Amino acid sequence: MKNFQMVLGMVLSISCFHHSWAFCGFYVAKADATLFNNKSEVILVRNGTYTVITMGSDFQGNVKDFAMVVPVPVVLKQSDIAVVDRGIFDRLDAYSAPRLTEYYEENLCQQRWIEKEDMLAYPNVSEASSRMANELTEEDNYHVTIEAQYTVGEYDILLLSATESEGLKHWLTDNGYKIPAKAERVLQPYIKSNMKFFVVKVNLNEMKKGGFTTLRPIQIRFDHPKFMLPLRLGMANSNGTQDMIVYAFSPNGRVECTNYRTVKIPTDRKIPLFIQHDFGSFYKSVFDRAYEREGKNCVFLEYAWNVTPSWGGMKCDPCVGDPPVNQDFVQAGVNWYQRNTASSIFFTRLHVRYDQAHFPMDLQFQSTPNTEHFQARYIITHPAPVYDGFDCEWGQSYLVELHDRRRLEWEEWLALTGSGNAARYSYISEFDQYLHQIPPHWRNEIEEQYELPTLPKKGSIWPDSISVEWSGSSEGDQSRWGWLLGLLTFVSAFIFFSNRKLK
Amino acid sequence: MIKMPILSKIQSDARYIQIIGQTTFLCWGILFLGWQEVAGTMFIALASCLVMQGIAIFLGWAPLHSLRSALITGLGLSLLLRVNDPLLMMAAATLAISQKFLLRWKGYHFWNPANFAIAVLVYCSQDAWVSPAQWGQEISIMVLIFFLGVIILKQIHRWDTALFYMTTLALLVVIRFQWYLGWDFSVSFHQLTTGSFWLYSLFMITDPMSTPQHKVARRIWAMALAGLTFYLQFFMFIPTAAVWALFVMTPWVPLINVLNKEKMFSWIK
Repeated sequence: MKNFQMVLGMVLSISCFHHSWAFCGFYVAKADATLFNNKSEVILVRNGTYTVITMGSDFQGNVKDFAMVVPVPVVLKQSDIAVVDRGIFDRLDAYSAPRLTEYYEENLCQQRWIEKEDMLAYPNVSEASSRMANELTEEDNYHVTIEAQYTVGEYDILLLSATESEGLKHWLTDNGYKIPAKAERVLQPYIKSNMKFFVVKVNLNEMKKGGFTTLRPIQIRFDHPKFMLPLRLGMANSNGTQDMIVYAFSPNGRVECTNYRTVKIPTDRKIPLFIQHDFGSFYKSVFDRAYEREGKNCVFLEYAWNVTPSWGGMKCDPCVGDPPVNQDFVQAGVNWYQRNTASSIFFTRLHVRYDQAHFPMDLQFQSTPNTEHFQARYIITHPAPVYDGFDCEWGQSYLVELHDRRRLEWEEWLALTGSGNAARYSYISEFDQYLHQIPPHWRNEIEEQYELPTLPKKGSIWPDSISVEWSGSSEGDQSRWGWLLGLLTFVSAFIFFSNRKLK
Repeated sequence: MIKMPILSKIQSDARYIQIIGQTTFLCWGILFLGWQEVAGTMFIALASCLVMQGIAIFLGWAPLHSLRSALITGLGLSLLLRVNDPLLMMAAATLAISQKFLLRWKGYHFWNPANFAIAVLVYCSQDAWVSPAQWGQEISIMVLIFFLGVIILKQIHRWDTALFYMTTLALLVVIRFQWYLGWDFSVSFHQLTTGSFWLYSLFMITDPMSTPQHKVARRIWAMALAGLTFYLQFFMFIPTAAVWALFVMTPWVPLINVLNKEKMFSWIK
């Protein structure tokens, strides 16, 4: 019977680890958008030239100070402007956030099986700049035209067109909108490009009437070939970096940036178990390192999936939040989907950290037919339970494997985040005490590799952090050398055997 | 002087350097830009192009050395075209090679084979696309593209196509973004330092088989191509403007060549 249990256990664990795409772990934590300071969230919907932009506001100050100026390509009608529930951002964030998943290993000295699910919460830290807005006066000698004026929900909205930036700047200033000094230079190119200005402030009476306590996201829709997000105006008064999460819906496949490189964030990496208690800050470090490594001028892909309701496949793997449903699509502005038709919806989550120096242009996008699924996923593995002992033959070889695997996880952690707390080093050898005989090669290997002073001993003092150079260790990273070699061999052979006498 | 047979072989046909150049860019993509995931389809492109050209050679439509052109087409497809289904890459290779033999007039090609296949597939299929930002703004790749490009263009005497195209486009971008719209120079600089722009200018539009043979005509043609690219990209807001501009401009080349009574270009010295 014991033999049977062993075989069964091995089959289970092999099927788990060799099909990394068919998920068989558990979601335990996520790194949601609230981790990043100075962040904004935008929902983009694009079908042909039809575009819907929903701007999530994380404005924390007094609502009467809130004001926003957004360049838009056309004069919007009242029916093109809406106010939506903030909940859609939270749902999309929860669904697509980078995720930590866990596997459990069994002790085949006496098989047991434990499952556990946990979730981490992070404080919501965010801030936004405030712009004061007072009563508006008539346009006069400003060369500014009020193209339209609406009250939508709790917002007073103006659509302005201007012929010169100086006039627009004075008009905005005189009407109580505090425009950053550097913004004038940025206004000019938008005016020359024939863009209009979508100017928003809060109508306190409407807000009181509606009983709202926080500002709801504003949504605009228009039909124009330009598919972009204006960043430059927001950067005018900011010297630091800002984070933006873009949730995009399109009919065919991924949305990607066309004037900055779209890069996949490292994914499917096995990382140490102790990360589970601090996954949020771990992912933040992963993002920081990837941002630095890729030259600070990239857009990062964090999630891409087919979310068509009638599509039979899995909508996430594993799910950290419910996939968007019909109500979310309608709210986001998806207008092409109809049940029982061939229409489909593809969802993309992009994360961009931008600043003036590295993002001189507004972000431009295209909707591609790329249907490859992607998610930022990190994997932890719980070791077999100790209380069954590791005295059997399997147990002893398992402990050697565990030690080696934990060393790889530890290296991966350092490679992904750039530095790690050396005190965590004991993680690798945590289970060595159950080994009857320690393999002699371990000590030398580890000491050489990290130039550590000594192996961890009780009571010894370690440096707080050690830095290592990036060395990707995922399967994908290793496969590139194979492809490279293959390509070079192919082309060299072609040139070598190409006979010019046969011309 | 030491004799290096492989070097003299490479110098005998500019296509060898073109092959080495494009292979270098592919290697760069695989090493630094995460292209290993699509490397499988790249081999399909290379193999399909060679097989298709092999069939044409077997039928007596082309000489054996034209396999080099086929490999260049395969490398071009691998560098630019992205597909959901590897079968589409085979379709692209088939389209690219077969149009060379099926669509020609007085011995002249109407289109650059890779450009033709990319344009047709992106337009007609729901599963093919071009990622114009895939190279990013890395200075090192630009330097690499520049040096390899210069070596090839010097050898085939087509440096003027790239120079006139790039200068015209650069001027138009600076005039519009810096002078007219009033953006900082960093905006123009960003647009002119994308790897895609350099690769397209030095390796795609300079194909001597699909550019006018007459020197003056070629320079005017390159400037017109730049003008059209500029219009499509900044007034029609098409991010892959370069592909479409070239697709529209190359069919005029046979007519220009015939009117100028120019001989066809030959790769072999």
